Amino acid sequence: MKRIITLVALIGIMFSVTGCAKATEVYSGTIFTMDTYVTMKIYSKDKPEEIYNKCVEKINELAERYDVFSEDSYLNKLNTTGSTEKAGGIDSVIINVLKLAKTTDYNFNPAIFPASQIWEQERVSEEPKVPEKAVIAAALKKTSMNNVQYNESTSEIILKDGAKIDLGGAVKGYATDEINKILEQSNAESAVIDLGGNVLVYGKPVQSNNWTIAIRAPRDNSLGYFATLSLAQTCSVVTSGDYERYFEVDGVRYHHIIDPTTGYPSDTGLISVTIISKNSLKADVYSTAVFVMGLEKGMAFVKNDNEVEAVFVTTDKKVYTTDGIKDKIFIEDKDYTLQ
Amino acid sequence: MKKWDYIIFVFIAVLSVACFVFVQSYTSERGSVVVIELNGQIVKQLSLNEDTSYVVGLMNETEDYNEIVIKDGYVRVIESNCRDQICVNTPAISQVGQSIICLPHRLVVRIDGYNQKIDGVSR
Repeated sequence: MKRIITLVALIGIMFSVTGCAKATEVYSGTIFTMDTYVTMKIYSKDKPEEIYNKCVEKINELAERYDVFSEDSYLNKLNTTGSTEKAGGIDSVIINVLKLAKTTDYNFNPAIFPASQIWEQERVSEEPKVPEKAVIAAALKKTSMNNVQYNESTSEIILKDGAKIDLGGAVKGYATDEINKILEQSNAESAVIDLGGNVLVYGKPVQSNNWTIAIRAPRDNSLGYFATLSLAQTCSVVTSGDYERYFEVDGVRYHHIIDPTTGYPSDTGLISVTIISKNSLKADVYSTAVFVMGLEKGMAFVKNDNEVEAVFVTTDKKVYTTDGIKDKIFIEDKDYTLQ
Repeated sequence: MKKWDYIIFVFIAVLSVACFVFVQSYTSERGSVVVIELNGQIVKQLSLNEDTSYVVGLMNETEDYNEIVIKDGYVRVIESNCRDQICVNTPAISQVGQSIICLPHRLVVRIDGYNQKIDGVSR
């Protein structure tokens, strides 16, 4: 009898060792919204599907409110009526973006829409051509931040002379921050959120000590990425580059990151900028701004902010990083050299 | 040692091996799978190890289509009638966690499997 008990006990131990405790469940899916895709993979011991659905709801709400092309959106009302009062009230997201834009010296220009639209229309046309100088100049006038007036005491925004605000380079970051909040509130264990290429890793990875986030290779290679980042905890990684939305005329690449001072695609010798930060809105805004600033100015700018780390890639595939990320980046393609 | 000791010993040994084989068969690396999703729904799964080509779409009125080719362990979209051609310009993918996306057609081509080296790609 004693031996039977021993046997049962041993079998019990064996099962517990092989892992039959309450398992972490995973739920994942992809939706198309905000003019992009959103893939979310959420790990939780408690109903990951419900957390996923909450995140989807939030993203859809933001997508609707800040859709620059939709007639009924808050943003469109602001752009057409020219004031937050007429559009239906003040908006803290836009205010945050305006403040962040100011810290970048408007190298991120939230009113760039009239100029960027001209290039985007060419890009998607049958035979893209370089827009006329006069057309660019006329559009550039409408993008002046002097036409965007923010009253700090009333929080109201007034748009003048056809100025239009476009949150295309910021709303994905804001949405990521909101998802981060939902994950915190709902006790998710870990998650990987890919919001149109902006990646958020949340919590600790399930199967290893660190998250491995790849950075897309700005020029084609066999891997698809040129480096990986090894990150221990919740972090948002946002990359801006000249390689995803562009067209070529006579061997010259015209990409989608427009220099607000010229109205032409930014041409500072950078082909990719990655910002790593807990604050995804900041990462989103800064990745564009720093791309426009170029390596020297951009590096000085990010070094001033201890909330962000950055990776720069120049046209000759040299990789520069801030000190805080130097021991966490691994170059995977030998064509790229870490400086 | 008595008879029962041997029986218990042999029993546990056999059970251990059985458990090990069972767990291994569920967690060890199997061939990576190319998963094709339209609008969030899986429409096709293909082995990454078998060279093939597959055309998604051409079934609705708009005649949207993307041609996906798997060759030598790499996947790419070689043709599409979408307006922005970002899917066609995306380099071939080969690793679990990578994906190609065609926004206008709401298409995702991703690689799934156990041998996951990267958790995501920032682009």
